[in-house]
Amino acid sequence: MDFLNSQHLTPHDGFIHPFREAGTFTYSARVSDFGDSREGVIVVQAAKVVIGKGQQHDIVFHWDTAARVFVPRNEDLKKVIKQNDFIVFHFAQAEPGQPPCFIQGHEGDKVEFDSRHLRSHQAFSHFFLTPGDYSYRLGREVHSVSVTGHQQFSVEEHEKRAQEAIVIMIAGNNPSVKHAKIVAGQTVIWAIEKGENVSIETFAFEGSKPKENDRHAYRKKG
Amino acid sequence: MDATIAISEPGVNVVLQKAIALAHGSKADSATWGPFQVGYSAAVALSGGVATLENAPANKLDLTGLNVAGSVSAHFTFDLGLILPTICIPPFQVCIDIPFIGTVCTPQVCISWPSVTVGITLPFAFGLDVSFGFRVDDLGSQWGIVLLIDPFSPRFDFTPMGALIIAAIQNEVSNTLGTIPLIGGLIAGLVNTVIGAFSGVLGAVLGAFSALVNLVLSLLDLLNVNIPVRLLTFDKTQTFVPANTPLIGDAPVNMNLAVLQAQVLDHELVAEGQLA
Repeated sequence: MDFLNSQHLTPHDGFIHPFREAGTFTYSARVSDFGDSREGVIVVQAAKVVIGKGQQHDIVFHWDTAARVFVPRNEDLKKVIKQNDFIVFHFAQAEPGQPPCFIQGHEGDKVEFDSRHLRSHQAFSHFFLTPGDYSYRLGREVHSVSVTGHQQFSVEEHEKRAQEAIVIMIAGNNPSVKHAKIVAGQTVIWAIEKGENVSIETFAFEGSKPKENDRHAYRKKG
Repeated sequence: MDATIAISEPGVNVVLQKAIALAHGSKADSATWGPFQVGYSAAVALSGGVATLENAPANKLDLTGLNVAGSVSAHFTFDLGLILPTICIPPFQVCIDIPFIGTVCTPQVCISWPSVTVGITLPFAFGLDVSFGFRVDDLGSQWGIVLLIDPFSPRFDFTPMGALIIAAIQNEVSNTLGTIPLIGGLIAGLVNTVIGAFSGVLGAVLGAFSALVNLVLSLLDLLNVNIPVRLLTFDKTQTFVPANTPLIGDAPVNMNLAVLQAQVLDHELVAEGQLA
């Protein structure tokens, strides 16, 4: 089974944050609240871009095994973006001994974003590599993602399915898809439409499986 | 006064088979060749063979058709990350419109290649012809007729087993990579990359296996050129009992076997001693 926990990001995960206000922000991928980290800078320029029409920028970290810190790519050390653009934070190839981490951004002394506490308009993505049933809880409700092994499909069928990503919109404690069914090799994005301090964290669940007709509705583009 | 004992060729075979039955051994080793760590062990046992005696002046025991059988067990462990190139999947990015964020293209994930362990057992068997010389050793309170093997070179060629090892590695790597989605079309090429890397060290691996088998053989007393193998022993003090005992006055007599010589005459091992 994959390790799936938005509070502890692995190379299978991504964290997405849109910048609503202009300003200068620092960011880092950290193993803990204490200790060393390598910071980068994001400069957000004022622009008349409406929400939902911003551009994507990627910041990729790799684990420096000698320094034992996550380091952004050189080209990501300073990013200049526009208001309402968003950044997808993710990882290069895993190194042996690479720990999970979280991503934090500051404007001055104020925490602007923290991937451990997802809030409105942020998103968390996970690329599922291993088949199995993954259960997670939002409030008191248990929801799940069922991942079928790719070997149960023809290569063509599997590739077709893998080109569909799934978005689960979360409003409060309600996901738009309670039981997602995917194949290994697909990515699921949990997008927080409305919420505070949200996390997606699997746990062992022996209870009843969510209903069959909770099949997701997802959209594909490109 | 002299004493002579003769042992027929079949009799020598009986005695020698007891020594052959005890001839077995094993040894283990490990080594690293490039990204491949190999732990391996060899077990060897001797059986069979027919002994014939060569008359003086050769004075030899020829053992033909000695069966050397055993196996080499090996575990190959290697980190695919040290062999394979970095591959990121999915090969395509999926872009989705999320109303309050924008068009989000999913990140690619670079594969963390796993480690692979392949276990394989390679049984082997080959025939060996060897010859021994006789020698009489003073063993303290006994005389011993011992065998001392003539130098020989046991050679078993593991080269034909290379294909078996490659097939086992191919199978395991293929199975391991088969669990990773979206690289189906690449698996054949990736497996070939691993086999290509292994082929470069295969000769050294097989050479190490042969060396270990030869080492185990050389540690067997029967095949060790420096270790005499006792075939027969005679107490130096021999007790002679009169044929007419228990008549009074004819007590058993102890005599000392002062000298012992051994040679092959008329396909019999003949031991001649002088009693004093």
